[in-house]
Amino acid sequence: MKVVENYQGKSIAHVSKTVLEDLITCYIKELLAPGQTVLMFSHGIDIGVEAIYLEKDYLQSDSTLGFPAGTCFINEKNLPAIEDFLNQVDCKNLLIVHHQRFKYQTVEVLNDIFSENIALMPDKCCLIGVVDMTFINFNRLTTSVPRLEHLLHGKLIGNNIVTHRIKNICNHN
Amino acid sequence: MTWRQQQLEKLGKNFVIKQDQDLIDYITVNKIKTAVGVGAVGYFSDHVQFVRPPAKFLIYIVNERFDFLNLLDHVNHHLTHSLIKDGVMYLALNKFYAWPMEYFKHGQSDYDQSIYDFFADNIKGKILSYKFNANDDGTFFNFVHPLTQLYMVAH
Repeated sequence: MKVVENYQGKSIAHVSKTVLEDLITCYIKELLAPGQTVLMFSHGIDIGVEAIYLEKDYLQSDSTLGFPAGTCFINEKNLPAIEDFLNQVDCKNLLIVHHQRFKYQTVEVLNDIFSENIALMPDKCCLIGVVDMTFINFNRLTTSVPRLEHLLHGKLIGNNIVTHRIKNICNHN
Repeated sequence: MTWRQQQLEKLGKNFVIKQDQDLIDYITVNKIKTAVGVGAVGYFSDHVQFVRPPAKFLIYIVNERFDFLNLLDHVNHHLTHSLIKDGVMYLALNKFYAWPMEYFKHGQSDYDQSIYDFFADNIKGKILSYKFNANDDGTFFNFVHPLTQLYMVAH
C-alpha cells in the first residue's frame, strides 16, 4: 500500500450547490437594500430573491450545478471586468455565499477579501458575505463567538458568519 | 458512501493516508491486539479488535462538532475508567469542528499551542507525544482522520 500525505495535486475543488438553512436566507433578506442584487461566485444558490447570478467562467460547462437561466460568467481574476459589471447593473447588494476563497483563511485574510470586493462595488452598495465558520482558521480557545463576530463585522447564524458592510466612498473598508 | 470513502475514492486504490498508517504502525509496533474505540474509529477494526473497557489502548477520534470542555470531561473519564494501568489513549480531534470559546483570555495566538496547553493543564494524566498540522489548507485529509493528535497516559 502506498502512503499518501495529501491529495497530491488531484483536484479537490469539489464545487457543489450550497444549501442554506432557512434562518440564514431569512436573515440575508432582512439585510438586502432595495435595488439590484448580484449573487457572486456562490454556485447558483437559491435564496428566494430576484438576483443576477455571476459565476466563475470555468464552471459554465458544469451541468451538475444547474445555474439559473441568465447566469453571467466571468473570470474571477479579471477584477476590472467584475467592477464594470457591478456598475453596469447598478448593483445595490453584492452577495457572496461560501466562496471557495473563504476556505481555511484567517480572519485577517477574510477581511482583506471582503475589502477587495468592496473596492469593486459602486458607492453605497452593500456587501453581504456568508462564511462557514467550520472553515475559518482561528484560535477556538482564545476567541469567543462574540469576538469572532466583532472581528468579521458579522453575526453568527447557524454555523455561518454573515457579514454586512456598506461601501462608502469617503470611508470604505 | 461515507465521507471517508468519498474523499479517498479520489485517489484510487492501493493507498493509505499517512495518519491512518501512523496509527496502524503504532498498533503494530506496540503489538496491540485489543483497544477501546470511541468516535469515528470504524476503519481501524481491521487492525485491532475493539473491546469493552478497560483495555491497554484506547482510540478516540473526534470528527464532528464538539466543545473543548465537554471533550475534556470525556477524555478524563476514559483516562480514569477505560484504561488499565499504564494504558495509552490516542486522541485525534478535528480542530475546525470545535465550538469557539475564550478559555485562554491572554493566551497565545497559536491555536495548536493552545490545544496542547489546554490538555496538558487539564487532563488527569500526561501527554506522551503529540502531532499537529498548523498549515492545514484542506488537502491533508483532516476531515477523514484529524491531524491534531495526542497520545496520553493516566496518572
